[in-house]
Amino acid sequence: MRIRMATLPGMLPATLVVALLAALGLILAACSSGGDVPEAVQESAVAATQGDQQQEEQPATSYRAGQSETAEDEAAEQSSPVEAEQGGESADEAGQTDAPEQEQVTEVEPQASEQSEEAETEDEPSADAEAEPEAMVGQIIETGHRAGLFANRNVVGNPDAPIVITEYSDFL
Amino acid sequence: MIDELVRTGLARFEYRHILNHGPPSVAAALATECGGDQGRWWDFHDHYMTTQDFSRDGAVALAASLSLDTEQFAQCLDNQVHLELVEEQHRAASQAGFNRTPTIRINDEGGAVNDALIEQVQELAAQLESEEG
Repeated sequence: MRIRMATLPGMLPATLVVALLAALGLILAACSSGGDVPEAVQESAVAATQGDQQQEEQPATSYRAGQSETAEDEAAEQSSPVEAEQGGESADEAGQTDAPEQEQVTEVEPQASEQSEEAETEDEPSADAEAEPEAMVGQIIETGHRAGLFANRNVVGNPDAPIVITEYSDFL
Repeated sequence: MIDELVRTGLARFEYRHILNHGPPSVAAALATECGGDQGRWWDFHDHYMTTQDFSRDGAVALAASLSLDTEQFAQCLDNQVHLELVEEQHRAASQAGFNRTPTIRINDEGGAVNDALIEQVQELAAQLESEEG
């Protein structure tokens, strides 16, 4: 003898009740864990109710499949915020790990600018070329009368200078 | 100005001895040349330009203060090693008529240090710089 369960007016379908209970349980679990999943659970609950409304005439296997689907969805949606948080954390970690990279980059940039400056200075040999003879003459003056121009010890300066200044004097 | 010209390589500076004041002039000239034997000619030049101690002991003391070989320096002084050199320079100057001291010559021209001589050096330096430019 089969007992047919008819849905009386004012009564919710069994699958809808189960889905709502499951959603309520998940909400409570989320609230107790402090997670921010109500929206996800509400979405899953809404999806379950919609599914139930669409599948009122479908057998229980489909409900199980739907339950399993909703469970998977819930699990996925529950995991998604976690993953999102983890993703955020990982993103933060990535940001933290990126920050040193950025610092490294910023540290590298001055080196690059220094290199460019060095390159620029290397591109300006004229100043050095101009300073070189002067430095050489200065060195001759500094050391020439001490040792460098020992043979011409009474001579200071460029031996090939176009101007020769000669002083005839004594020390009195 | 001369220092600047020498430093820039436009000019070189030479010093020739004139012995107008007898033994002190000779002593200073010989000491300077003996200092030059050990590479310190201009130290003695600068010393005698600022002090008037022309004694042998003063020269040897200066050599010692410059860490020279004082024995070699003293022998150089006592043997008047460079007497012929300084006398030759004095003779050449006298024959050229450079009896006043100091006498400055620019490329074998000029005379006593005065504004005209300075102007001559400046003009020559400017001419050389314009030719190089």
